[in-house]
Amino acid sequence: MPDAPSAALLLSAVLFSIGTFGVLTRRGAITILMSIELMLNAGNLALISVSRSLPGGGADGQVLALFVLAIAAAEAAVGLGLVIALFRLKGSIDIDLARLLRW
Amino acid sequence: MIPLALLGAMTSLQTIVLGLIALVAIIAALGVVLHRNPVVQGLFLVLNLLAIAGLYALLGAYFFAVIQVLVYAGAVMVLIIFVIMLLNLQPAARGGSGLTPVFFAFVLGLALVSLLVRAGRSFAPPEAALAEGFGSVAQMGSSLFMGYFYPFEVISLALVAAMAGAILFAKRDLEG
Amino acid sequence: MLPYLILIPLAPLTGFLLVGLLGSMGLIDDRWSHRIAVSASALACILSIGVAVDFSGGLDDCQTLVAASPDAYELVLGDENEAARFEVTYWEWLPLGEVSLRGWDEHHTRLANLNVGWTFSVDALTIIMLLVVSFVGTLIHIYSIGYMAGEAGYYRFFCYLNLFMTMMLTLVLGGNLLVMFVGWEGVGLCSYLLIGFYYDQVFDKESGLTCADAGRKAFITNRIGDFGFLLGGLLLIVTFGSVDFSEIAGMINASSAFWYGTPLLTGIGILLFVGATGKSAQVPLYVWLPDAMAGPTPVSALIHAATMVTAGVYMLARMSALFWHAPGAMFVVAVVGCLTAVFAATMGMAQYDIKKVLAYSTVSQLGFMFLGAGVGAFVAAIFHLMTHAFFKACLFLGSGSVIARAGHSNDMRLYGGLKKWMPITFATYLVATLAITGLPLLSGFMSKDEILARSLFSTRGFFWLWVFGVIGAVMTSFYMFRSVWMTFLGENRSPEKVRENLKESPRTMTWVLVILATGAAFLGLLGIPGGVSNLVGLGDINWLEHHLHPVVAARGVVAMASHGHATEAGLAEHGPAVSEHGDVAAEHGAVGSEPGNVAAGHEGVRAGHQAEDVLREGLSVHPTMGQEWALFFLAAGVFALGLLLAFWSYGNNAARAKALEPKLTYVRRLLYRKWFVDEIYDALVLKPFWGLSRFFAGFDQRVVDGAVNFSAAATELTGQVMKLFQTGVVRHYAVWLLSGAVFLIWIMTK
Repeated sequence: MPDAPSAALLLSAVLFSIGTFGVLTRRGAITILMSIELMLNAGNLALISVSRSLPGGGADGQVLALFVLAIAAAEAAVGLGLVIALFRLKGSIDIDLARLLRW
Repeated sequence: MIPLALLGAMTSLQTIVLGLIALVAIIAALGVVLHRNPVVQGLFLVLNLLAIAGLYALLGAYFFAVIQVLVYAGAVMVLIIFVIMLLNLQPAARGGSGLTPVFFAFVLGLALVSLLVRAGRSFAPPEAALAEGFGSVAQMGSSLFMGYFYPFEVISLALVAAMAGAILFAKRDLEG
Repeated sequence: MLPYLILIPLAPLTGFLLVGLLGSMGLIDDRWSHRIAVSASALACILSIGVAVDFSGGLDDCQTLVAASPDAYELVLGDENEAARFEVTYWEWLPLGEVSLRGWDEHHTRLANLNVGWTFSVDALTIIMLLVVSFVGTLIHIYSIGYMAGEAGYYRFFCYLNLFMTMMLTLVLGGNLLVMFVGWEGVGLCSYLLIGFYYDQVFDKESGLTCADAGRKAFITNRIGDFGFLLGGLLLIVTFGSVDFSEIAGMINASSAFWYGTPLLTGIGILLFVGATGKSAQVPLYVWLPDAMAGPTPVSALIHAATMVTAGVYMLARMSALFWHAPGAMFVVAVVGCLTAVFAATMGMAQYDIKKVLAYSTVSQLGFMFLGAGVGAFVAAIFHLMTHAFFKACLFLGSGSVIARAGHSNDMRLYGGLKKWMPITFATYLVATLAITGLPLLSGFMSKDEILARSLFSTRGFFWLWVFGVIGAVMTSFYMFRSVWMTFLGENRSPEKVRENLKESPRTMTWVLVILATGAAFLGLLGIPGGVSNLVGLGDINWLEHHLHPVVAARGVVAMASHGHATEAGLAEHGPAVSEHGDVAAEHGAVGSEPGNVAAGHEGVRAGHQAEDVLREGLSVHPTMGQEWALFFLAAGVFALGLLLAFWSYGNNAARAKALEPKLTYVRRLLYRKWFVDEIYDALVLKPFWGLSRFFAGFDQRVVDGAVNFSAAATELTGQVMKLFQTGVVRHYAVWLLSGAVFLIWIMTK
């Protein structure tokens, strides 16, 4: 019978896959960005739930999750900057429009 | 399907709360991914983040739950929604991106979820009592500023760099 | 002057750098070019004379110098076993340190101290060469001022000439094989540069050979010889663990009976001689020298007659200790020399190009020198080298004087009767001709007939060598007088325009000719052969023999063979020496048997047997008074016979010459085309070589380049395929990324 951490792990797997689905199917840059946030959160959830059962008080997982959170904030800032730049350039945030860098 | 199956097996109040929160998180996540209006997507994401914060609290990581609400559901999401508003984005057109990407995404997503679930299943956590002070501010603080001092500083550097980068990208005219 | 030895090659080196750098930058005009070059060469000459004076004044003065820094200097005052010598090591050149050398079998592996220094060594032989090279070199520098006047690349000519002097003096002064090799290759380089001096002109209209081709031919032919030289040198290093001439000679002489006639020494000797055949134009590598006449005439005189081509003879004399102990190698040298002397002379008889006549004559005379060296008459060979330097330089410069005035044509058929216009050139040319052909008491007579006599009477000589040598001498006489007749006597056959401008050459050229002709006439007095002086009751007044003999004398067991004077008393006297060497041999045996080696013991026995052979060598024939007279008259007869033959065919009777022409057509054609040797080499060596080269070129282009091109094509193809993945659509990249992630998770959780 699954307890709380195992259920959280399973949930994190489901959320991660949903985020993946979003990244792969959507064309709006902000939607993709939000899907990535979903995926990062799923990762965080896994870290926290696993760290609970680890020896040593379980602080490690939380600290790592904190780092992920910081990086996610940074990524959101840079990503949104890019989105604004893209919008300014193309008048749209459709990611498929930014495809100049090819063979 | 999996949360439903889990639900049937659970009895205590905690399990019921857990199932509800998971349900909300999944529905919110699907809302983020599937809804066509960016503003609604953003609100769904907030819901999702809050649900996960609840889950953190349920897992005993109270401090992190607070951080999640403050930083993620608060600051980051405000930024995202601010940008959505700023750009005055319209709902995406129907039909979106065609069938091929959806097919690939479906296959990959299913593969991913089945693999991760299998991996999670094989992970059998020892039934140990929760360590004392787990999720407290004191534990996090001593851990961050002692064991993880240098990575912490590096992360702050990364944040500064990201800030500079964001300004650089978003600025209309560098010379001005 | 001995302490300032290094200045001798340094002076022309400075001249080379100054003239070359300033000239190419256009900072000095022609006058300053030759002023610098001539004074550099003259300085070398003065220093050489100073060194010679110092050296002949005894080396006692150098004692303090040597005592001050015993590491750098080495002084040998000269005694029974070693000639007087002064050696300076300027710097550690190749400090290889202790090197383990594997000998010809595993029992002779040993450590050798191979710290090769930049060593200059002076002994009697060096002095002679120094004087000849620097004196003749300076004269030719001066002559070139007049000859090269107004030519394009005037400074270039003088700068090369100075570089040549540097290299030749280095070659002569070198105290070890490697320093000598630097000079050896350096003179080869200068030879190449100067043969191709008129690199944009065609030299031989019949074969279309350009001057640049001639230079290449010389250089490449020399490479073949130098390959042998290098092999010989390496074998020498492996065998003796040293490159120092005196050390090697010391080692050989010290255990003479052991070394005598070993295949190893013979091999080294023959390999070194292969190098000499290249540089000194002997059969079969002589073919470059006639074509080397593409260079300006002073170059032909200096490099291709007087100095560089004699380097081979000098090297043999330097290595005389080795050659004395390698009778097989000496036999090869003598036979090749004799063959060359005759063979080249035949070709010289039919040439119309005056410079080619002289070129073949040079090859032939070099053959005589090697004949001398091969029969052990090293002194006579060096003597001939010396006299040849003078008369041949004089002949070349005389021909240059004629060529410059006769409309720059080398063809003797367009000369004739030139003595009317060019009396000084004619007189000097005639004197030099009389010297080379051997008019009794002139220098060529002394040196050449000494070589011929020794080829008959030396223990290393034999009858047929002498016979062919005499035939070669007759031909020498013939072709030289032929050239005199065709050029200076009879009717003038020049075109009208040329005849109008005929006049004597300028004074810078003529007085050089006069000096050289004087030398050609009287230099022979330095080395009057013992036989000749005995005839007139003067006793032994051979200065050169006394001077040079200690350097090239055979030492060790074979010592008695060198003089050919071994009487019974001599035998008795040498008896103990021989048995002593027998002991040495036995000692070797003992040394060999210590590690329980039977082979080494056998070696000792073999060495003992050789000591007996050596003893037998001591029984040599010494010419009697009657034989001496016979030789004298024979030599005079040889001279006269050639003269008469030339007179009969080219003298006053033009009609007879005409009538003779058709009868000799085939022979003449054969000789004129040089026995078709160039054609034979072309067919036997060049064509197959070209074929091989083409094969390898094809191999290179198809297989080697193919492999390279294939890898390039494969890379490109991979790129062409892989680039399809770079669509520019971010989502596609995400798909690949996630596929990879899924794959990795699958692998890790399997």
